[in-house]
Amino acid sequence: MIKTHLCLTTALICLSLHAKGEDLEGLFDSAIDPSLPKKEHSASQSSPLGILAYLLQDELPKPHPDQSLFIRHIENGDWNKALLQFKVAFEGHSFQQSANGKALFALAHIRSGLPVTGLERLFTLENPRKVHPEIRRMLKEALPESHPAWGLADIQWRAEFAEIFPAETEYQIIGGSLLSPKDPKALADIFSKLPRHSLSRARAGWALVIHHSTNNDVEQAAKILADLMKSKAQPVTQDLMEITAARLLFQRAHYAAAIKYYEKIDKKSEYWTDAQEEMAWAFIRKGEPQNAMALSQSLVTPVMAQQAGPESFFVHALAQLKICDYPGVISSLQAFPKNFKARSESLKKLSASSESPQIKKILTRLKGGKLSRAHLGADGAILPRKLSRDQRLYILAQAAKNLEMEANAADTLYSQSLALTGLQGYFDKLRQTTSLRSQTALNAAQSRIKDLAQIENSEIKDILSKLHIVEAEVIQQVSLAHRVATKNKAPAEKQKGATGSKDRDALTFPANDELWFDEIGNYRVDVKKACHADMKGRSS
Amino acid sequence: MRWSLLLTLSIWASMPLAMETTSEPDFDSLGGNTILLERAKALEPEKQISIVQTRTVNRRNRIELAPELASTFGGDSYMRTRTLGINAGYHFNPRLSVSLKYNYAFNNLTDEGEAMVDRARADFEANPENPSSPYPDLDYVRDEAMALVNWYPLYGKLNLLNKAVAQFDLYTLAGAGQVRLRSGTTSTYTAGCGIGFWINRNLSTRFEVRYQNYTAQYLTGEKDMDLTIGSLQMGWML
Repeated sequence: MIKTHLCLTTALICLSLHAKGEDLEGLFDSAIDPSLPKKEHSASQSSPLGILAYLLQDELPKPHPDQSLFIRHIENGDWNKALLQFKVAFEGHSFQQSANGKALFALAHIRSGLPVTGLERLFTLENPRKVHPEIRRMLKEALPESHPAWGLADIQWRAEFAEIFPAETEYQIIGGSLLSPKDPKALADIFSKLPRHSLSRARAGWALVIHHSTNNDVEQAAKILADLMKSKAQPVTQDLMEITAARLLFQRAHYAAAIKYYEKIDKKSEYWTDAQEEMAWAFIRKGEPQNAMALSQSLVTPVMAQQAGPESFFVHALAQLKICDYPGVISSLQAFPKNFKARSESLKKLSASSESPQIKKILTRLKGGKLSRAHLGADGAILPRKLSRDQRLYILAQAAKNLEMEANAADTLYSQSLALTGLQGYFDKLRQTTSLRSQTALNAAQSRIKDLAQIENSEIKDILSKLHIVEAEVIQQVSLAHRVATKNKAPAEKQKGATGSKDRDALTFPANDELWFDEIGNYRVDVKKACHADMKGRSS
Repeated sequence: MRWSLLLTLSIWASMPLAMETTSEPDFDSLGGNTILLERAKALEPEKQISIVQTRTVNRRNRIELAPELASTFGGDSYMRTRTLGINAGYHFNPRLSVSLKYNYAFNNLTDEGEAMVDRARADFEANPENPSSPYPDLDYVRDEAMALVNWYPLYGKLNLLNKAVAQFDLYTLAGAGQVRLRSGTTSTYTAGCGIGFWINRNLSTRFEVRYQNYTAQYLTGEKDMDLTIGSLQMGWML
């Protein structure tokens, strides 16, 4: 009885092993022996993975079981297992060093949730042209030009890779972030090569605008910007392009034209306060301090002051000084500490703190997508005012998010590798590298917030120093004002304001201490007698 | 003499602040010179700060359609009249508009009128041969059509609990037209005033009170009807 049972068990084991062997090596068998019916595999071959498995038969005419298992994982789309199996299957094999082997190893990384590592592995390929077209197609599909990995991987673009990836990806590597083009010449080359209305071209153009404007090549920047503003694909928001156009015009002292562009910035825009403040400076330069005063009036109101920043107080006080509104200047000087003393202290704390719940919270939100000032809510009072629109911070937060995902994927792979073979070393290293990268990106994002806090605090201190100089100037002018006012017989100069609504049916209301939110941005100042004041309070 | 001494001291006191720009600036000392403030107040220039805002609604060459619900006060004491109507207006500019108004009337008896009818019916039932209680003599409005001119001399705005701001115009109106009464058609004229709130670029609300006059025909003869009409309009600017 026992003997019969043992025989049956042995027979079953033999049968199952035979069946398994057929199953594993069937693909290769059909490739080796053309007489074998290929229709058995036609269903799997019709899928991209089936095609890929089939192609491997050329590379591996006689696969051993580990290689067969790798092929099976590929065919099943089980990329994690395929990646874990790769080293077991091909360690020391010529396939590992072949173009297809390297490309497939990179593809397995990409498909296993490690696109940055995969991309870096792929770019170690010496001759990408040797990679099989099907693998190239799969790589292209796995890494479209919009994939964030292009901006995160530490790679150098090579012309041969244009065989695999579209021209736009070259920009993703060379242009990198929108903030600091790594190679302006290459970027200019990409800008001229890419299709006119493509987003990548627009992004490359924008990076060039930034590059030229920061290098004082205003004309070139303006030329590219004008082109971008007409393009269907816009690299950044319309308001950012408009304010940039205004700044370029300002830089070349075309104040009237700059003002026209500043006026285009809508009140709902994140750049509205900046536009108002810069427009006020343009009016100061134009010799129209009454308009500068009217524009900055909105920015120095308590509800807007912190959003607008400290410089608004400086331009406001300066405009008041220019029309000899000394009580106004003093009032502005007194308002500054009320609005910025506590803020300066909180920013100082933020820039010094190693752990801040606000920073953590904001980074979590930035990982989810872009924020507006309105999204900050109550935290806006503590956080740096330019945080919500800081492109560098957004890029860092997104990088942290993507690298975190990659680190998690590496962690999973490492856990899986523990249960398998003795090749944990590679996956452990991978896990450590990706984790370190992710942490570095997160630290960089946190540092950026602290930097922004520090920059704003320095700005406050800088403006405070300037306001002290304004105060000294007021003291000096007040001392001279008596003589000027009594000796000056010239007719008083009227300075009519040109701010506020320009609509012919506009409504006019007197300004008083009560602030209505709909009145912000609609002030107008008419000066009847500037610097011709009578000594009303003169003591006898 | 006193002023110049104080001024000299002020300048002297603030000099280090102006010069020491490299050291940490001080918040508390900024604008703290009260003597200077007193002195500066005497030198305030003549300036006017105003708020110049765009109207919520552009009312140049715009058409406004406004359904209206109105109630009549005064007039016949036995009859209560409510109207449902439509106004079609044309705004030349924010100051002036013309409009056409059509109202359809819904009439019913007042308590007094109903009591009189009840009395007359009871009397008729009690004494059908020779009833003595009279039925009320009524000449009510069936519908009316008028042409109006609106003038908007005053404007303002309303803070709605700090949540929104609504601009409004106070206006006067005058117009004339025809009113179809039970007794026939007669001419009518009206004059009044109202307040129009411009909610958004298309929606408006008006509260209007106007005097209206026409001649009604009673069995006893003609009677001048002096009515006060209060109405609510919800308008849509095309």
